[in-house]
Amino acid sequence: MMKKYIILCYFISMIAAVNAKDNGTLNPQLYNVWIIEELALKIMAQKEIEYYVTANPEDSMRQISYNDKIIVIESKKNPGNIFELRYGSSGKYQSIDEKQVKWVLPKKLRSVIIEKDYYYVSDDSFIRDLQNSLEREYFYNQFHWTSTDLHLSLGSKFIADRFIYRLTSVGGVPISPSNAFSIKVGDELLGYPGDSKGMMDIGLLSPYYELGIQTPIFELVGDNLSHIILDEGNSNSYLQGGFGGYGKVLLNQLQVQLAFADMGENKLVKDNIIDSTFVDFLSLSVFAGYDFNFQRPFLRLGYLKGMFGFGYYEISHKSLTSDDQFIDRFQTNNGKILEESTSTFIGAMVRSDFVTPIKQNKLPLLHLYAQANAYEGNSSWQTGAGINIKSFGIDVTYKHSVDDVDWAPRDELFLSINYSY
Amino acid sequence: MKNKIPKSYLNIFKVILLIIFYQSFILSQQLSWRCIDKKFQEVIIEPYVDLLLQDYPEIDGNQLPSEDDDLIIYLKGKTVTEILAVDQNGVADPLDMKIYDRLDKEIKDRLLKRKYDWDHINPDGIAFRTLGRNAYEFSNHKTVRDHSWWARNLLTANPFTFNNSFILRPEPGLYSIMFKQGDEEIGYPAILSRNSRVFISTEPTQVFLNLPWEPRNISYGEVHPLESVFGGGVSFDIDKLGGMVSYNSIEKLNYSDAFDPDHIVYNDWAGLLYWTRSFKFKTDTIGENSKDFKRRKPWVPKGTQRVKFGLSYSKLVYGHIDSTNNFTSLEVSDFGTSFSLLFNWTYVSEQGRFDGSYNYYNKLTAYFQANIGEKFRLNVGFLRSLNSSLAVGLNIGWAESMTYLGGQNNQYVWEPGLVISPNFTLRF
Repeated sequence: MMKKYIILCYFISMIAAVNAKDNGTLNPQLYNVWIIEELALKIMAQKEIEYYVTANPEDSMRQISYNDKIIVIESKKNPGNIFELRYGSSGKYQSIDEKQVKWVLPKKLRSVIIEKDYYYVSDDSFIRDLQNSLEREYFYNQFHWTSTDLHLSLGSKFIADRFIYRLTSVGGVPISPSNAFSIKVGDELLGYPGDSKGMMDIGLLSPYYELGIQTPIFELVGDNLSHIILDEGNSNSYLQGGFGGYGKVLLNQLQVQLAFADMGENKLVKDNIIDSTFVDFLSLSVFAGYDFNFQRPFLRLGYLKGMFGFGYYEISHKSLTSDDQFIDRFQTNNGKILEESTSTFIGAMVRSDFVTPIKQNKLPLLHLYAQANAYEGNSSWQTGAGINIKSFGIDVTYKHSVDDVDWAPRDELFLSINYSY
Repeated sequence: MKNKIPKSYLNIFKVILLIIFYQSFILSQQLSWRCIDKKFQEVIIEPYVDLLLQDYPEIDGNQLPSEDDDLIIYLKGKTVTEILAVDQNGVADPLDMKIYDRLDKEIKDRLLKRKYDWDHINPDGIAFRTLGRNAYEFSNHKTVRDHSWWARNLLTANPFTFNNSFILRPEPGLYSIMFKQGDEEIGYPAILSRNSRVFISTEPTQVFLNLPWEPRNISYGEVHPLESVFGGGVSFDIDKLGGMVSYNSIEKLNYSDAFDPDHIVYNDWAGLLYWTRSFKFKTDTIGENSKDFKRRKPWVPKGTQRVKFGLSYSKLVYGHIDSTNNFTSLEVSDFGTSFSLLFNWTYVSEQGRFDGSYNYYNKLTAYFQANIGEKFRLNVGFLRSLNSSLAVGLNIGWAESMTYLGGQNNQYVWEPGLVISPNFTLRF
């Protein structure tokens, strides 16, 4: 008899655990979760939520804002019904349960939402481990998107090394706040932070993609105080810039990026050549990285995120002749003969980021990272720290090149000051 | 003489803008909905009827609202201006607002708090425009978008015809794998290109590999295709924006594998950015049919159409390859020639089901694509479903010729050609 009770208790506890809704956490195997990305639907839902929240102040629900995500949760046990709706951003989500959803949204809108015949993105991370959702969202925004409408970071010979302006309307017509204009100097994950890549990316940024053109870094400041080369003998080691394109997409937690450039006949490129004899530039790069979020706090001090990736890139070696033509070069700076006019590198990348707990501000007080790019013949490691106070921050990155190459000094330091609004 | 817009047109335009603004303002102040919660309807109607009977004891029972009636509530600001009781037959009777005003404040507050099941007044109608877009009107946008992005069924394949596509989307769920011949985005679909691509797709994004492989294909036409290359790219399509970027390399090409070793044209890199929108496709019949005759079915059934409008960039390289497999570039298309305007129109008919089948299908799909630049490229096609598993169609692709090394002794006119391909598509 006792055995039966034990078995019964065990099953009850299992069922309770499976259906546990502790602090918004649900079992992802039992629910479909997606974010509404269709602007018209979002606006309609926002309008109804706004009405409900205003009409029922005693419920103390937070008001919805234009930039909030709207997350739909459907129970697999009861398909065709909204189990729960959440809205919010930066880890602060308001939950509307199944019964309340019927009060907040009209029947037709509920059925349209559940039919999923519109743009949506499936993402069950919103029901898994909400303990560190603020930190996870910070990491996501840091690498793939933005947490503010405007982000400006100063620290390059172009003055800005990062600029993001989130577009919320075009010509007065509201658009989905998931598009931004972006300028980025360097490619940290590939192993070329800041000015060391020799090129800047100008284009569109969204939580799921990036697309644009690559250009040389236009020199707007003479003495670039933000890029400090620590070994004096190597002050002429740098990559130069060509003209090309870049793109990045997210396949859930896997990011894939592609960038390419050529010297071509572009005047902008030729005008920005610093050393015409030894022109080295990043002609092609492909990178794929997978994010791992550690769910538990690290020694109660903060949160960790890991990334593992693979990269492949080509450095093209050219010279600009006196008649303004680029020709292939088969010799290094120190006279060593090269077999090809392009050097290729392939290898793995590991990275770990640590942030202190995020509270009111959307940014952590301290962000530390360490990264190793183990490319055969061109390995490097870098480490960095960022301190944020309210909307302002300072970032420092130190990069050490393990292998001797013409286009990178042994040790270099990158500084930047940033502001988010 | 400069063309000027007549002043009268400007005035009409201003008036239209004023009307739109005025309507938006009025609409923003008004609100209405339909209570479909029987329990709550009782809460309102029961005391209302009691008060009504107090004032008019002789009232006919048929004139009293029933507790089963839906309630339509009209609100201006925070004031209820009108309430209609709608019976099972859809007949609406207004409630006497003087009697409604005498109801308990708590009941009236509950009506405004809307803590009950409710809906729009006419949920199937087009009454809820939101900033120029209507979510319900365009909700089937996804159908037409999915049609060209991946598939809505488990497996779609058109072996040996058109673009030799093979699309597998398990469940159909979050990922799909897809194989396609040609570079359709830049205007060289099917055998106009000697490349094939393998895509991994998610809802908003794709990653693809370009493979120098030309599978067997039943097509008609004399073509000089884009040469085989290795490469890859990424693309996205979300909300109103889409785009793609891809990069290729010809270094692995062998002399013996080249289509024409002396005259090679390949796509070095390509980029695309477009704006897209969907509309309902309606075919209005003129006049009423006689009841003795069956209504004629329209040639093109109702459905959804989608337009894409944007810029495409394809940097083409002309050159030759020698017997040692060394490729020499002779001319690269300049910035201006590489750009073209992209216009794409896609149509899918409303989804239906054949008798005895559980699979949904689109009876008719069609597309038209033009890349309009210094040189023109055109692609058109349609697909007609014979049943839920089989569809047949036709595709035509054409690209205008290009002259390389113009004015020089070794001038060459590249003629990509015209291709006509049947299309047999299988769906599971």
